[in-house]
Amino acid sequence: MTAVVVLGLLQGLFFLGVGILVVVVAAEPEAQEALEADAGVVLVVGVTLALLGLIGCALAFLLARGSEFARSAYGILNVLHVGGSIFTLVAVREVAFGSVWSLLLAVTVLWCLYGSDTAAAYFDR
Amino acid sequence: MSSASDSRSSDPTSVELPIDDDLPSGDRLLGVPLREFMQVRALRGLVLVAISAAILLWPDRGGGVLGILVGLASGLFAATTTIDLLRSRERRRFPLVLSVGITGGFAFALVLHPEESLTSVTQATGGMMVAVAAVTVVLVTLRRHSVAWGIAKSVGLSVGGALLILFPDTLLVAATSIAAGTSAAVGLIEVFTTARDGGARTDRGSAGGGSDLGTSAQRTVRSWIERRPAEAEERQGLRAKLYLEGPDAAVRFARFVTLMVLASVIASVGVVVESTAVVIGAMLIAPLMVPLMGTAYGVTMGWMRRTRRSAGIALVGISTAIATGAVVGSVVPRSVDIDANVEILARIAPTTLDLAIAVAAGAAGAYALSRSDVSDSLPGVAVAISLVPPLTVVGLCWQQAGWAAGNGALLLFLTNAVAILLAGGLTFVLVGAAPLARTSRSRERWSTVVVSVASLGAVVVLLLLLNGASQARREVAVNEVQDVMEDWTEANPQYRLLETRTPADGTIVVDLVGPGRPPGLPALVNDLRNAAESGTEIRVTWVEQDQVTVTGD
Repeated sequence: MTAVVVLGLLQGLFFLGVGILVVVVAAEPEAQEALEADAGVVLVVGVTLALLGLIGCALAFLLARGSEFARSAYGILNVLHVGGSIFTLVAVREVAFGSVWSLLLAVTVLWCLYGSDTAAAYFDR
Repeated sequence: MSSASDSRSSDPTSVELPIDDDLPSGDRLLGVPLREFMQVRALRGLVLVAISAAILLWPDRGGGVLGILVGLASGLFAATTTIDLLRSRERRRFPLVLSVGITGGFAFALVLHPEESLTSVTQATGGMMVAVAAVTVVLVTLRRHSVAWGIAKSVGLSVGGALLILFPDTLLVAATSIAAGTSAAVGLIEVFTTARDGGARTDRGSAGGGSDLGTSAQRTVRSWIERRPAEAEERQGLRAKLYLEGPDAAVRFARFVTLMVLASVIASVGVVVESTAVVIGAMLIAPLMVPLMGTAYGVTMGWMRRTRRSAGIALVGISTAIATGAVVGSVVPRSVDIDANVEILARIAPTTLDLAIAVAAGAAGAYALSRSDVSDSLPGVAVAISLVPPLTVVGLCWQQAGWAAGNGALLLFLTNAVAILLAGGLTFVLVGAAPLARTSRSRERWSTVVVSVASLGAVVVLLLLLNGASQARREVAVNEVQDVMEDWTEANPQYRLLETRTPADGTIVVDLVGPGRPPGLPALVNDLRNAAESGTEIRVTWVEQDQVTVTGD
């Protein structure tokens, strides 16, 4: 469970950092060129990323405290990851490293959340 | 213990409804009010039945439509399982949660890219089965699974998964048909149990829907099976029929061996003289079905000693039939031509169609045995399942060193035996002859046996598929050779094509009749070489036709 919390926290911090960075450079023409969008859209993207990062960090903290809501939210997120990876592998027939890695990671997280006896005991506290 | 009506009367929220006994018969289906079929679970069952029926009946199974239909069924499973998980916290377990992601991914892929995804989905399913097998091996190593069960499960999954990965297109139709057939059965059970439960409530005057979509199809089916235990006397009768027990066990075993020898002699002679009627006579004696059905019933009831004993008796019967076939082959004053005998040729090249017949016959046999009112149909089952004749053909062929032909007949017997064990066992559970509570109690023991038999079944299916593919290739090659020979006889009208034969040694033999050595043999050989598949041996034989013309005085 600790691994899932750390992973979630790192992912949240990463999104938060990238979001803040995008907000900071939103006015720069190079950033707008790279994202092929005007300053307003870049700002919205940055704020959205930062919000997702914050939500990720919050969920990781809640998960660390044994919250059933955070468990469900992480569960749904990883079920979507599994579905997306399966879709890429089966329909697009692209055995990309990213898809396989994402699938394995999502399955591992789901097992940590719902598969082990320790997880059940952890959330039943 | 208080009854359901007692508890209702004490419930202040219940609303008494009028009893619907006076509903006109047009408003009922199989005694259930039609409006009860409009519940959510019943509708889910109806959708499942409709999609499964469409998959089974769709004329072009290779097209994108099949992919879309399978995708819709997959999506329906994912959606209803999601609702089930959202409503019940206890059911949020890793396999079920993961299945939502996998079936959801499959559903989107199949609906959006049906033609491209169908083969990949089959292969991905095979890959997942192999992965689960690997995990099982790890769990066995970590001693978290029993060794016997773990090995049986991992072998079964590996064989099945490997088959799906290696032959996705060949197995696609079979896999989707089996899945659709099972889904249709589950859907029908769901429709009628939901409607009947609702109807019973309505008839008793209770309020309430029963529209609990959170109840999974698996639980509905389980509860349906649990409600179907056969009468105790019928189970005792079945036990008396299937097992050679009690003080007269030795006498009954002697009778079994006697019948087995007689049936084998009849079948062998019928094969030698190429008399289908005589062979059918041997099928009707059918003593071998009893120990095989006994093995299947013993497994579902968790009776391991009876299972072992029945399997042992079946082995004695099998050996007797093969030995009798070999003895008859060596003593009959008539040569047996393995390449030309129609009774032998009909039994040495089984395909998956033979498996389909055997599965249906095995299920019918178990049904007829467990229901005394339909036991008259057992002779028909015996003819359809045909156990003794393939074994005597094994003996006849091996006695003449026709190993390939004998092995083909043995494969046909194995197909029939595995089908009896699996379809028979499943039918015993479904009709209630083996109560689910009893079966669940010895789950690990019987599932080890079932998975072992299923693994053997998977190997048999693989051999049948390879055999079917090889037969199809041979038929194509024979047609090509025939086309070449027809062109040649058109150019050489003094020659006549007598026959194109395909003996058991894998060659194609062309018999010609005409005036001496055929002209242009090098060109004909070249044409035949181009027409035949590489490695196929073609023999051209000719009979010189002489002619004497006599004019009367």
